[in-house]
Formats: sequence, C-alpha cells, structure tokens
Amino acid sequence: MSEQKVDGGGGTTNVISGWITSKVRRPTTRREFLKVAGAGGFGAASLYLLGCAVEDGTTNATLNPKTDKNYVLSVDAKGMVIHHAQRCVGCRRCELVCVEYNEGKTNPNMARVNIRRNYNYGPEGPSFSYRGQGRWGNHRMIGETCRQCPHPVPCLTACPYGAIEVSGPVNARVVNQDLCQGCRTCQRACPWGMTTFDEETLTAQKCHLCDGEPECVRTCPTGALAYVPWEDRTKDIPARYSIPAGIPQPDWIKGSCAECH
Amino acid sequence: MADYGGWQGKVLRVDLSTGKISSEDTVAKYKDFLGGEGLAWKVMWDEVPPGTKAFDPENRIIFGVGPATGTGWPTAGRLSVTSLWPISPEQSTGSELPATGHGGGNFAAELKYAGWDSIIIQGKSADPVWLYINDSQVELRDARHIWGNGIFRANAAISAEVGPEVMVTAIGQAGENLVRQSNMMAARSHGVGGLGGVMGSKNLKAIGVKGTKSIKIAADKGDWKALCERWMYLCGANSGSVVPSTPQPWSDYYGGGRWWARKGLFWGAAYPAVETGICPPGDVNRMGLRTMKGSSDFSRRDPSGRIIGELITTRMGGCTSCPLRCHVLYDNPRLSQYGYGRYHSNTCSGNQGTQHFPKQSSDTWLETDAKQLGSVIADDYGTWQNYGQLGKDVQYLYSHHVWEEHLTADEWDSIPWDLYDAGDPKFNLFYYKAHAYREGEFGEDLGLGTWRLFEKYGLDPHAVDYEKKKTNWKLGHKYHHSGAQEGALINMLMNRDPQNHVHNSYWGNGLPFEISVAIMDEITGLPGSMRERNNNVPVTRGQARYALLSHIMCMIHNSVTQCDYNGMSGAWVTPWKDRNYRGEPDIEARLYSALTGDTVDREGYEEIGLRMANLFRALTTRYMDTPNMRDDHDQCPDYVFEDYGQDRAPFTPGHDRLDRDDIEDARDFLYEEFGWSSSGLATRATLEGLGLGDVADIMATQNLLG
Repeated sequence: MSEQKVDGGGGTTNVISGWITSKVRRPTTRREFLKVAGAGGFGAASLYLLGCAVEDGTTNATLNPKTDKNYVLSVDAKGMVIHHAQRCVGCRRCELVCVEYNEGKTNPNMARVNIRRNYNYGPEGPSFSYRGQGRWGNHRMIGETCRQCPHPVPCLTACPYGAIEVSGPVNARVVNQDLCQGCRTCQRACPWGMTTFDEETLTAQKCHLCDGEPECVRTCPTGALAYVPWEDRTKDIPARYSIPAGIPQPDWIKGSCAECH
Repeated sequence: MADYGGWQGKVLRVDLSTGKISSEDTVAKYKDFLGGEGLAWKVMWDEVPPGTKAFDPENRIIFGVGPATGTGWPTAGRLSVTSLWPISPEQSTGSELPATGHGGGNFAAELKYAGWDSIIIQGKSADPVWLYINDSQVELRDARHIWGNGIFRANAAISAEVGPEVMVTAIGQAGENLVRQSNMMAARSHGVGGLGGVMGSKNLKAIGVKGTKSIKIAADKGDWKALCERWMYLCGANSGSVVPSTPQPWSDYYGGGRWWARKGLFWGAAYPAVETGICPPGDVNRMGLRTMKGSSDFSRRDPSGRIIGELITTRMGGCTSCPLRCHVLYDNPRLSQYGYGRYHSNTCSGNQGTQHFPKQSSDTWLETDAKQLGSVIADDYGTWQNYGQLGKDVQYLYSHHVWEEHLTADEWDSIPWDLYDAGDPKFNLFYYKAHAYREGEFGEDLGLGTWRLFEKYGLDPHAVDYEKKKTNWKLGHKYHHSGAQEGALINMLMNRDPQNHVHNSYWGNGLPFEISVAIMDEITGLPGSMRERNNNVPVTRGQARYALLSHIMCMIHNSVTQCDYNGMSGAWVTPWKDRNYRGEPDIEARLYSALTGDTVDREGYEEIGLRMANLFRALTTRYMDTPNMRDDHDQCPDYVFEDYGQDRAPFTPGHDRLDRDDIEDARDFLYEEFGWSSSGLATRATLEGLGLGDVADIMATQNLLG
C-alpha cells in the first residue's frame, strides 16, 4: 500500500498510493491555509506553513470537518524531536523558548516539550528512597517530546472539530488555532500527555516542529534535543496515561474507519 | 497597574500569626526596586524597625524574585531571600543587620508561574505549617507530620501530597531548632545560606509552589528572541570565564577561569558517558558543557591517576533558564556505606564538607567521601557553614584547646576526636548532627556564628585571621573573592560575605591583564580601574568606580533576578577576539527594557542599582544607629595589611599586602563616587536624586544623614 520516499532534508515519509490517496489527510498548502485563516488574526500558525508541499504535487482542498469525513488517514511526519536523557541538564530553556519564540510570552506549562513533570522524581513519581530518576533520584532527566504519531493520530482523530491538521513542510500534526474550540479532548486523547493548553487564548497547543527547525533543539545548551528523521516511537515508549474510553468518535470521521478496516 | 511585561503584578503577603493571606500591587509599590533583594530592602525599611531581632515574629523574611525571573532571559532563575541575618552581631539598636541568601533551582521561576512577584512572610504560626501556593490558591497547611524531618524527606512528603511538579524550599532540623547558622534548600539546588533559623522561628517548615500562568513579554517575540540569543552569543563560561582553561584551537589564550571543557574530559558517570570536548563560543548546543565543575570541586586523583570528580559526575545542574551549569551532580556509591544515598549535588563551598578538618585524609577516595558526606548531611539537616568560615573557627578552637578547656570532661570524651584528627568521613555523621540538633556545648557552638562563638569564649573574632589568612572579614562574616583594593571595598560594604561575582568574575575572566584593564577603563571611563593579581599599586578613583559598579550591578542581578555568579560576562567582556573581547555593556538594560517595556538605557538601569544600594546603606546605618559608618561598619581586617613572616612593604610586586593609608584613600574615593559623606553616610542630595527623599527625611530625624 505504501512506498518509502526520502525527502530533501534526509527524512523519510510514507507516500500512500492507489485508491486510498484521495482519502489521505494531507498537508495543506500555504495558500490554502491562509485562505482558511483569513486576512487577519492568523497569529503564529503561519510559521508552520512556509514552503509546504504535497509529495505527489496534487492540490488538496482544505478540509471541511463537517463534510470531509473520509479524510482521516494522515501521512507520516518527516521529522521529530527526540530527547537524550543522559545529556539533559534540566535547565528547561527548551520549554521557555518553545513558547516565548512562538507565542511571545513565557509559560513552560504550555511548552510542547516537557522536562518539568519528570524533573524532580522521574516518571515514577515521589519517592522516599531517592533511588528513582530525576533531580531527587539518579539525576536522569526524562524529557518528553511529541511522537508525531502515525495514523491513527490520537489527538487528531479525537478532535470533534477537525482542528488538528497535518501541516507544514514536515507534516507536523498542528492545531489549527482558528478551528480549535478549546474542548480539551485532544489533551485527554494523547497517551503521553503532550498536548498542552493556552489558558489565555483557550486553545490547545501541540508540537508543530517549527517548520523543521525546532527552537527547542536550536537552544538546548547540551545538545540533549535533536531533530531527526521521523520514526515510529509510539510502540516502544510506554504510554503515560490510559485513554478514556469515553472519548466519542467525532462525527466527521464516523464510519470512515470501516472503509479500510 | 501599568501594563508592564515581566512582573506578574502581585506580591504575596502571609501573616503567620493571624493566618491572613493577602496581596499587594507590585508595580505601584516596588517597581523602583525591581524585585528580589531590592524589593526586600524596601520591605525591611518600611516594616522592620530598629530593635527587631532576627527571630522575632515582627521580623520579615522575603522570598524575592523579579521581572526577569522565570523567563528565557538566560540565567534568570535566581531566588533572593532576605531578612535580619541571624549570625550578624547584635547592634546597639538590638537588631542584627539585614542580608540576603541566594538560591535557585526551579523554585524561583515556579513562583513567577504561580503569578507572584515575591512573598513577604511575617508573624509566627502557633503550630508548624507549610505554605502551599497553587497559582492564586494559597493556603497554610499542617506541617506537624513533616516537622522533625530533614529537607529531603520534607520535599518527598510535600510532593506526595500535592504532586511531583511542586517546587519546594524547606528547612531541616537545624532551622527548626533555631540554629543561627542554618540554611534552607531551594528545590534540591543551592542552599540559601543563613536564614533557616528565621523560617524555624516562624514555625514555617517549607513553601511549595506550583504555577501555570504566563509571564508577559513586552517586546515583539522576534526582538526578544534576537536579544536572548545575542546574550548567549556574547557570554562565556560559568563565573565569567571567557578563555578556556586548556589550550584550544579557537582561543589565543588559555589558563585560569572555569571554561574547563576539553577533549578527553567526561561526565564520567553519565550513562553513557558524555565528553565535554571542545566548546567554542557561538556553539549554543555545547554551552552547558563548557563548565565541568565536577573535576574541579573533586580534583583529587584515585590510585590509578584518574580524577575522581570526573569519574562520578553524572551531569551539571543549576537553575531554570541557565545555559551555564554550575552544580555538580554526582554518583558516589561509596556514600551508601554511611547510610546516605549515593546521588547528591552541590557546588563550590557547598561541596567542601571537610573544611573543619585539620588535615584531609591521604586516601583520596576517603577524602572525597568525607567532603560529600558532609555536603549531603548538611543539605538534609540544613546546616550552614558561613561560606567556609565555620571550618576555620572549628580548627582554631580545637587547635588552641579552647573546647578542651571549656567543655565538660564527659562531653569532651564523647566527641570522636580520633576520627576528626584523621579526617575520617564518619566524624561528619557526628559533627553535622551535633550542629543541627544543638547537641551539647559543642553542637551549640557550631550554630552560633563566628562573632557570637568567639565572644562566648572571650576571644577576638579577628584572632582567627592571624592563624589562617583571608578568613573572617568583619562582623563575623567571611571574605568572599576579594582582589586588590576594589575587592576590599566590596567586602566592606556588605553585611555578610558579599557574594559579589560581578567584580570577581571580571577579575578572573582569564584574559591577559592588559586587555582586562583596558576594557575596564572603558567601562568606568577612568584610568587604572583594576589591579593585577598580587601586584597592587596605590588606589585610583577608577578602582573605586569598578567597586561601585560591581556593587550596584550585583544588587540588580539579585533583584531582577539574574545569576550574579556569571557576573557581567557578555556585557563587559566576551570570548570573541573579533570584538577585541569587548561585550555589549548595555545588553542587560536592553533585556530589561524589552521584557518589561520600561525603556531605560545603561545609565538608567544602573541608577536603579544605585537606588537599591543607597536604600541598603540607609537601612544598615539605621540598624547600627551610627553616624560613623566608615569606622563602625566599613571595616577591613588587619590581615590584609600584614605580610606574615616576610614583612615586604605594601605594593611590593608579587604579593597582595595592602596599605592602611591607601585603603583610607580607597574609602574616600568610594564615598565620593556614591555621593556619601566622608563618614560613609548617604546624603540628602544623593537620596533625593534617587527618589529616596522619604528615606532622607527619616535619616535626618535620627541624625544619620551625611
């Protein structure tokens, strides 16, 4: 069903061929995205879209979540950010620049790379024995980054409003700020808790890979973060949360799964 | 409030006596003092009258952060905790003098994320409590189940109670037991020296903070990014070093400083090991490797010739937003045999848990164990060593048989002096516990502070100076990195070891002296602004201005807050040869302006520092109630005028002996630069010029105006 293609940046991507091509949720082009966003109020989203292209050169109509219910498959991302636990010093500059250089304010709680929650005691949580990970344990910093999940992308397929799109030159999974209604379903749907929320704009945030030049990677003072060709890490990194069974399948994809499965 | 960036707009006030929790407007009341230490001087001036003692409920303890704290402004993760300083000698007014302890980790930043620009704590709780801050939800919680435990367990208990992301500052048993010489630990990072007992006196075990709020940045995000990256481009390694300590291809110079990274030097206990390697300026992704402090703080070699510090370092730690790491995080499995965990961390003096020993063990692993065991126990009990002064005091009293004469025979015999003489790590199990629990006369003595300790035995606190040079400076505090006359002036001005790295980091930047002095002359606008190490010549006005700039910039760093450990690296000096090693002197003012929207140039920024320094001067003068600060406060210990055993004249090349008349000239220059009288008092004109007319009015009524 698919073939591997190496992109110009050294990354790989799955280009799905055949009849299913028309149903694949593709990167939008810059022009189309601008049309959706309108003349004003576009904000940071434009950063994601510079130079974006679709592999086979076809033009895709912008998704309409109310009518395009079959567009549920997502092409793989071209790159991803990974974290090297042995190099991380816990300075959290990655969290700071993620928000400051993208949104223009400071708030590590909405950063799309997460050092803070494992900083003290590691993923295991507080311990009186001081033998776990983190600053109170063996000093190992377990940083977490978005896996840029392959299909089915949990946050994308859970969003009732189709607000999470495959976008930009590196096929990042991006929250379209104009479509996001702030329902937080994507936060509940991410097994690793990597979707964050801006309490001021009341919209969800997630890693958009900064168009393939992630600010967190650029700023890391020990090279503990790296931008690498995408690979599927969703199977080997334990989920942080179990996904509530109560998340309903959104209307816009209802029935579409059955077309392939 | 005006719509500034940086500040969150509210300062939290907690009255432990009444349980009342309130807030006040940061900008309206404290903007002129930025935050942190400056804000605290204002609180102390307004609210803590002379006569108040450190452990009185009426004393305040201020956990200060500023507009920069918690933002991506590099190194802006610092915490300034200010109060009356328990080991300061009691003045004629009955008060100890005020001073600030410094901490970091992630606590200070988290306080900002919770929406607070500082915490003012007053009163005394009836029962032990801890303060829980979860954004705007602030409450006093029962701490009776934590009381009596060390700092590590207090952190774990609070984290278990409210979640692992909480950042905690806590005291240990030493603070609870009102040990004067005790500390607190901020988020498993730097110990905030000196003030553990003040928290204990208020029955406040800990503060735990969780925050989710944003901090506004006034500037356009692109401009802010460019400015932060500019600072990263210009700065050097930890403590202001701009040349590597070993020859490297990118640098014309080497030697000195703390740019220790080199090929073949590893974080040896990382898994897998991480090579520090060549870290040229401009390579942002290697900045955090530049300073490998593990091999410096634990520099002894094992029997096979390997540097122990290199073998055990897991990584370098530090504070939020800082790319220049100063904390040694290490893994020494041998500590387990003493009943403590193998993982620990500290930096500099905090890593030297054997300063009280008359000699170090010849077994280098045992010596390392002793240092680290001392450090880990001190950090858990929350004892403080007064920047190494306590170790000197202990050595003096032991070697002069003072304790042997004064302690009861039973107590004397109960102390394992054989372990002490051998530098055995196991002595530390006894020593720090005695200190924290005030066990016996010996344990009581360890917590008194130099001044009270020597006074108790009828000794001159300066006597120790003649035995071990460069220790006690004045008023029971140690010297801290002084050099030449300007260093002496800085040590005179403060009420504790001055913790001034603006001066020292520039002095030790590693460049040849002729380059450093040329740059400093440009900074001060005066010739001869600094002196070569161990090569003094008669003092110049330029040196006094260098001291003044160091003093006020240090206060700005402690208030805005930005790490002062790094000095003015990037601002005054840079590793870049193509800039002739010149930094950008206004870069901190530009960062402040961009963040807050309160646009100031370098001069305007320095004026804020002058305002704080003058308020601090007035505050100290008022607590001392003396019209003669020159003689009563700005003292210089005798040892700087001595040349033990050789008697070379002052200004003889090759040593650092100072001259008494010359230091008087230095004082004159400094007072003139500040606009103070010859007796060291702030004048009305100076105070009014800085917007401190109300301070001048009060000082006038007490005849304390110059």
